[in-house]
Amino acid sequence: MPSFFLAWRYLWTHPGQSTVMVLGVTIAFYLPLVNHQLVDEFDRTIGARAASTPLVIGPKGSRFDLVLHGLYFRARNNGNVPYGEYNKLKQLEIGEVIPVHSKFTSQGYPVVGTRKNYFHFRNRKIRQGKAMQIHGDCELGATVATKLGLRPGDTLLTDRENLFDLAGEYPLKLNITAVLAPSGTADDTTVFVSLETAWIIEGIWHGHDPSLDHNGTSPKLIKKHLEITEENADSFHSHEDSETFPLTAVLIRPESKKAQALLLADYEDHPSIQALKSPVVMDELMGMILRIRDFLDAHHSLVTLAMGALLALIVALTRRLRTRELETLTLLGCRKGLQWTIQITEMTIVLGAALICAFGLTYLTIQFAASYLLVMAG
Amino acid sequence: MDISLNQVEFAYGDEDFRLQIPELKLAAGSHTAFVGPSGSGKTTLLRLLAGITQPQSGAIQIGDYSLQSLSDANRRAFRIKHIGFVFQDFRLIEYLNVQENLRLSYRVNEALNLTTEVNTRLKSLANELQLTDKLDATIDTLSQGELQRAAIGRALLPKPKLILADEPTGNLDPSNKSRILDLLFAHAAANHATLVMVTHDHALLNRFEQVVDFEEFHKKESTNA
Repeated sequence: MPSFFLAWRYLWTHPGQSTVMVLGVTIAFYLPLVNHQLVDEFDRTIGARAASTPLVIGPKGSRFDLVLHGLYFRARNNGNVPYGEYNKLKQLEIGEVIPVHSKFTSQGYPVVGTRKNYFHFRNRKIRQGKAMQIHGDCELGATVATKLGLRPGDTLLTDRENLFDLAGEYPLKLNITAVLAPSGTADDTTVFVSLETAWIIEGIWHGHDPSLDHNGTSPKLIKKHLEITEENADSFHSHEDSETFPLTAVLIRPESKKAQALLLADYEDHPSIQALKSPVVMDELMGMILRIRDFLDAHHSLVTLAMGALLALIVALTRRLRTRELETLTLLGCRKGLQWTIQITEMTIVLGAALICAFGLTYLTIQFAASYLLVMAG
Repeated sequence: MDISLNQVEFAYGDEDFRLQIPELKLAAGSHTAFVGPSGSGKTTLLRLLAGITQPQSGAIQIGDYSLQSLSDANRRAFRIKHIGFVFQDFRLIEYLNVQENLRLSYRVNEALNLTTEVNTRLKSLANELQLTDKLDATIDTLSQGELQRAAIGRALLPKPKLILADEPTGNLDPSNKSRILDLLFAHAAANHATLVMVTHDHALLNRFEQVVDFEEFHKKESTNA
């Protein structure tokens, strides 16, 4: 293998030039590779979550917003679904029906009010602690617990909606009872509470704290937040009709296609509520992402083409710089064919090293960066 | 190898230079020095003898080989098998160390087998050339004298039958010149090789059996040196 030996020796003794070539080609390979892998992973992950939640019911408006809200608790809903609508759906016995209330945040993470069947629905397990028992309890997603350094027994304040609205809702001190096992989904970045707790944060439910007036506000502004304890937990209640309590979405997994079709038909002409097939909506969204990917692919093709041209130029210039060396090889009896083979081997080594680097970097990106990026998608 | 040139003419395309050799004979195993001013054609004649360049006309016979009748591939094979060329400017490969440079002919030619015997000979030759400590050194760390000796080592390792040396003592001090000449003569004698050496050093000429003065050669235009 004289060609490999000489090619390797040349590259080894010109580390600067070799490194620049390998890095350049690595980038040309890495960008389209990681782009494809990430989008594929994104597609697979959001597809799986959408498939496990076939129907999302919520207020009329943007279809994308509703599905993203129902599945990932991210987009904000303008409008509510009355709790009575949820009760009506439950009584139909058409499958699993999960209420979602997601209007508030804590340390920037969404606070989601739901029922215990959500955890069964998503197959979420508790890693540490025990399930929430009373109003004011919460269960943290794994990422929230890690990022905020919290564990069961600690407390967490909800974020105030408007810092200057002194008459508005007070932050609620949440008691952390459990940390969920990591799932690689949006649930990892969510603070789960009961629906009643969510309604307390919203000010629909209230308790009677000695230091607070009947409306849950302090006339002397002594208390900066609400706190639910075992002593006052039973005092929390609402004077409004529970059928009107707000939800932001209802997730449904119908027991049959027929049930799904009937449900979709029921909401077809509803004046304020819409029922959406989340896989269809997510496919539409994914279609947009894929179009962006196609654009990036075209862009990367140009980059790769430019890199190829640059490499060809390097080879051509290197041959000129190495005229004397190649002439020496000729004088020593080396065939022209072998001289070309040496240079082709050099390029092959560079391409091989670049491919290994590109695949390695792509793997690392998918392993580490993707887990961060895809939490939202899951 | 006996060498004979007959009516050889060579010219570079766009230059005034013209080499004309009506007749020249060098006996097998002889030691010949080429002397003369720069540009008189000494190196050109070495390249013609090595089959690196071809004359426009005339015949060059080396041993049983008639160079003008050989194809390019056969001339290359002839050069690999029989010629050891010491270049004036060393022509060592900068990204190889000394021993890799010495072995280079074996690396790039399938006709030469890199055997254990060759490696043993390499070590012995390095010892003779006082390069043992430099075998793993890179080319850019060598002195001029060491570069010269490495270039000689590369030419001698395949035990050529015709040693063509273009000013191999040009960068050496007097004691090293003498040692290198001894080495070249000894290797030529051991392999019954013909030695042709270009030199500007007239003090060395008395060691050669035959001296070809290119200045005189050109004056006479067509006489044998």
